[in-house]
Amino acid sequence: MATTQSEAVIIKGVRGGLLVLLDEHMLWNELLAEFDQRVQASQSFFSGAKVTANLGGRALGKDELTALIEALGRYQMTLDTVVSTADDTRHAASMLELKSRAPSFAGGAAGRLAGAVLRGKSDDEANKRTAEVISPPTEEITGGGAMFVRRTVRSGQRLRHDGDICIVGDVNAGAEVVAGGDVVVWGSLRGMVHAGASGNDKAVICALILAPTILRIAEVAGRGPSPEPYKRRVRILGLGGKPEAEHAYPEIARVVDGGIVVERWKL
Amino acid sequence: MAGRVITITSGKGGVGKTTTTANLGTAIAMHGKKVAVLDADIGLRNLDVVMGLENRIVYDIVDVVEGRCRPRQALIKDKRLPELALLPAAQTRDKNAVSPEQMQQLCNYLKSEFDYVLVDSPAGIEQGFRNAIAGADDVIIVTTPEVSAVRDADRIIGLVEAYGLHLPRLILNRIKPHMVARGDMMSQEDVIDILAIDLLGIVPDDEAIITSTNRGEPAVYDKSSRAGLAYNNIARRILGEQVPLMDLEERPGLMVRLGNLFGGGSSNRSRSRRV
Repeated sequence: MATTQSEAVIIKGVRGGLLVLLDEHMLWNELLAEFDQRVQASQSFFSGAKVTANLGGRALGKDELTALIEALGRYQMTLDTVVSTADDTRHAASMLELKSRAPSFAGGAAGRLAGAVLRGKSDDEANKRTAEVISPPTEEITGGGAMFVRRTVRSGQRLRHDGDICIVGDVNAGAEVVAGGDVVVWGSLRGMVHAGASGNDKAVICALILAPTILRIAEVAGRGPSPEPYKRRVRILGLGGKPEAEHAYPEIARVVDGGIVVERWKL
Repeated sequence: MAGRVITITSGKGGVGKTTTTANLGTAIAMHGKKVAVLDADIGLRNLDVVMGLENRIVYDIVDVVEGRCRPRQALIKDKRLPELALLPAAQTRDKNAVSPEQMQQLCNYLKSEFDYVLVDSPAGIEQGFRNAIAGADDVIIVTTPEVSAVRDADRIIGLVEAYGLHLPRLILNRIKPHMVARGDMMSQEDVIDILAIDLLGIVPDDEAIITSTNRGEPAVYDKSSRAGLAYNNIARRILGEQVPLMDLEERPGLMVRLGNLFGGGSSNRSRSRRV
């Protein structure tokens, strides 16, 4: 199905769905129209597919991503993951509760595929490759694909990312952060954080001030064993706002013997 | 004239949005600026009552957007203050009677006629909020020092950011210095620490506010009202003046000391967590 009739839109079958590579320079509306045209030709084939969209370095907002979701929706396709080197695009994706990541496997065949689109020319060798190579090993995701967020993550907002997440700012109560890898909060963590969400129980959660509502690492959830349950409770509920002075040091949470343990984070 | 549209919102209900809008509108008008206050709480209109203008409503915001009258006809001039006008909400319709686009157009019109347009937002994050925010240049968040109100304020700040507006400013309403001193109420530092936005002002809890809203006479008319004074200070800050926080606002210390003198609350001192 993937032909070379257009280099701006490349569609590949991959394990678990479709990979759609979209040129990063073409005007967004023209690109969507081009995509529409391509899919229309064999719509029954694409119907129901879960799509991973590689958008290169294009910076997209929520509205533009929504347009892509709608374009896919017209053919009963759902957007599952957004791959982009642009922070803005990944942020928009996480606002729309989509999975997102940076192209963390540039060395692999998929990287060459993406590269072909980025350079705006088709790569025959890359086109011959198929799906299997697209799912990269986890350590590569956590290695190259960290998401960096520099703001306060507020109540009702949700960050989702397959790799590590680093937040310079606070994570407020009512916010959700879900990462495939580690989560580092350079600020106060008062909300819900799930690290190692894809099952990695070696993942850790660190914060300058760790006062979460709920912590989860892989399948383990809950509060860490606390030496001072009362003060902990006060901090977890956020009643006092700031923690007691003696608690104002960075902490790290990890899984030890099937439970979450919180200890002083020695940098 | 190129005025500014300032939306006053909170997320949670009952924290003092309408009272704040009425008082700030009145106070800014008292400083000689032309002000329009706009009630965006369609279906639950209150601003007219708080401002004592209920009995003068002929047309409302829905009449304006549906073209039954011109904006000028719906604007009620406050007889006490010729610079102040109110555009009331409709009571017999609901939030969906107006679209964000219509609201934006209306705000643009009002901006051309007034120096300041204050929009009183309804509670919640649905259509009513989207309407209220549609034409905004600035946003003021009102919250009380309660965990639930602060949580909702946080949510609203996130939504305002998502609209591409710059970070809103905060009014912390109904603070009770003696409770803060006892450690039973969040302090301004606690709230600012969580919300991470600039503080525009603090309004102390004041029973006189209830009397003044019932009478339809904003507290800023009453020179002896502490809340009225706080609102006046906030109005001056909006106008660009540098006004220090009121003594009461800045250091509950004085009240604590008084409280300790009369209430024998010496044990409170050791529980103070401020560093």
